[in-house]
Amino acid sequence: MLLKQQILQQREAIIESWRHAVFGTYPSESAKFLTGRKNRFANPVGQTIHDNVEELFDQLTEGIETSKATVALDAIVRIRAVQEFSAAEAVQFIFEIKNIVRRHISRSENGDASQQGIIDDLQDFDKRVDSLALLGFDLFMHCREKLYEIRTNETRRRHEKLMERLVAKDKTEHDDEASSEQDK
Amino acid sequence: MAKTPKPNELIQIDLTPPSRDWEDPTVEFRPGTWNYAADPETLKYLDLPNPRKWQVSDEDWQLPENWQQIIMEGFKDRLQRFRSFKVFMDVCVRCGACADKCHYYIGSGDPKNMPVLRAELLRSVYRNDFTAMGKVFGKMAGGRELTVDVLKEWFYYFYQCTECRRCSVFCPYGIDTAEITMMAREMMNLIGLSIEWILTPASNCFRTGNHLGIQPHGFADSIEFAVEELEEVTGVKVDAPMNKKGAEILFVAPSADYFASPHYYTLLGYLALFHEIGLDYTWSSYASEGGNFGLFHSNEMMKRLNSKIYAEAKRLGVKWILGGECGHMWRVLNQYMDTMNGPADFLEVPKSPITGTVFENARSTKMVHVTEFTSDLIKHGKLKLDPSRNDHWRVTFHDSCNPARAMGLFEEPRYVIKNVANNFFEMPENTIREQTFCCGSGAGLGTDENMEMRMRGGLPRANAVKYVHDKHDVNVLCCICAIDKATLPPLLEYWVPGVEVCGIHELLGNALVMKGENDRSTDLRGTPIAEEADPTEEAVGESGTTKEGAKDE
Ligand code: SF4
Ligand code: SF4
Repeated sequence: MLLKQQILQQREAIIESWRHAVFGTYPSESAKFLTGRKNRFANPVGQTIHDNVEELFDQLTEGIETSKATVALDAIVRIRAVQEFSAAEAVQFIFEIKNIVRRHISRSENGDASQQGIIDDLQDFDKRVDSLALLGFDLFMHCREKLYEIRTNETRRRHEKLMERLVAKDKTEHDDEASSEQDK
Repeated sequence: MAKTPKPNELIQIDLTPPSRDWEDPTVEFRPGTWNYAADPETLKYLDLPNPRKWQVSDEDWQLPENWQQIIMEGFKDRLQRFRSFKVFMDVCVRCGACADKCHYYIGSGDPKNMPVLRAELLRSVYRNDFTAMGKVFGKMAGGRELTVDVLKEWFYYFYQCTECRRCSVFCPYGIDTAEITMMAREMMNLIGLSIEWILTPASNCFRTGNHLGIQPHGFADSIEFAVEELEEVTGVKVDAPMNKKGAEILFVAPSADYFASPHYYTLLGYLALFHEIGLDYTWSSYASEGGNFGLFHSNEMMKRLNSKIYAEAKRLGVKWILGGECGHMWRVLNQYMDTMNGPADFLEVPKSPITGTVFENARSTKMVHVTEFTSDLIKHGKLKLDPSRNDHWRVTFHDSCNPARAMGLFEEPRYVIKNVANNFFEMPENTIREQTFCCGSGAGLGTDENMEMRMRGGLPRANAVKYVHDKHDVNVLCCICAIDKATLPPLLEYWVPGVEVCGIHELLGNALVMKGENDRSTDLRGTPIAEEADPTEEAVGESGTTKEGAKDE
């Protein structure tokens, strides 16, 4: 409870730092573009990170509701799963919130991360972060598997009608042969 | 095996990529982000230089000994032959207007996907070797020497450009990065660096007239098969004339229309339409492909593959040519065919035999786009349409780059859709018409080995589709490009599951009321048509009013 109060007092600043940490995983020349949010259709990556980091923060502070957390985390991880990141790099930003929260508390006026109440609360908070991270790994794997599935489906569609035709033709020829056999 | 870091150790890792000088050319060829090299046999078949076995992931690309000299001579030759290329090399002021307009940049965040930096990869070498400043000051004047690493970087990034031309819309000087990419690819071809997905279709096309290498009788079979399927769905047996001498019109479509899904349903739509209006037309078993992968290789290859269209028109003695739903096919037909293989003065200025409309815009090419033709029919009330047969579709329209930016074909497709479907919703305005976002897989990049890169490049398009899917329950993305019909389904499968892809003439075929038809209980896909339309739906109908698309939000 103690922790939550302190975190909520600095909600905006913490969220902003967290976003910053995510944007910081992109090349510096692009970070400016990604953080700018003039238009959500012109900058979908930036907008997705912006909105969903906030949602994830609320999930961590208010308690995780799996369906909502999944939607928010999936939005970010789905993008990172096709960018230049390994699995660990793609979800590492989730753990980053632990540091960010500690930094903000220790900087705040009456904040003291060594108070017993806070220590307990921090442990609970960290557990929530860990479970979010596990979910993140699952989502990442799911996206990568999806890519393979998509590749197979595409190959099938590419010649789908041709294949159907060949099968149909093969069948008629086979049937014709069978009936001419019978005629003999 | 590498040790997997623990969560608390992970926290310590700084994942900010080290800030690299853009001039550093080293690239990592990560699986999923590049296309396989072309088979040397294909190069030999097409008489292309320096065929050899190599692969992109190899350290050694087995370059010919004098590869730098070959490229530099090729560079010089192109600067002399193409004035636009020379201008594009000189004129960029690095204003940055194009920087954040490329879908690959937007989706990847990789700075070298900014069009200005993509072009800079070539421009820096140009500066180094072809300008007085560069020759003297080299690196200080922004010049770079052409090394193996620079060459690999060219390959990586010029096969990450779909030649979509979105960037050129925003450039105050009209610099067309797509043409810079074309030049870079041509130069790489000189030393045998080509990709499989471009060259194999091109050589098939050269051999049999279409990308898959289907022989004339196979093509004729395919059309026959479609005629039978159409009869099963509609109860109407249509005629599909093949190589008919003296027909009024030659019809050319992309070959994917007769072997791939969902393209095929568009083919059924054309067949139904031409039958219903009693069009005197013919298919050609040699011009059995409108698509032209030569465009993605070199202007010589494009010319070679395109020549069959006028040749067939001449052989069959038609008056003019009608072209189906394809993207890059239209770029070639509209922008290059006339000067490349024309003038087609043996043909007449296209005139619709049904409405009498003369297509003045096609006065010189003699080739009309099927949505121009069909919208004219609808405008003159020549078709009986029941748009409620498409009520199971909630439609949005993707402007394919080439018909949109290379032809300015914006209104005709929309006019047809609004007349054949009741539920049409536009995507946000900065993602359609001339600002449309590419599918991310054009210009020969639609391979399955390149899937990860395609997902990045297609993200801005998919993001806009997701918006109308969430807001209006849109469940089908309509388009008039064969590459789109192949590449948008996987894109949406990843980003926006639940949205399918279709062609305009598929929707038209559903809505078209044909003489002597059966009860039409299914659409062309065989999906049952809903009994009754939902009365709460506001209709879009003939008046063509569209439901509010999104403004920028
Ligand atoms: S032509 Fe298209 S893909 Fe190529 S740089 Fe421009 S916007 Fe990007
Ligand atoms: S918009 Fe044109 S002039 Fe400006 S940086 Fe891009 S290519 Fe150069």
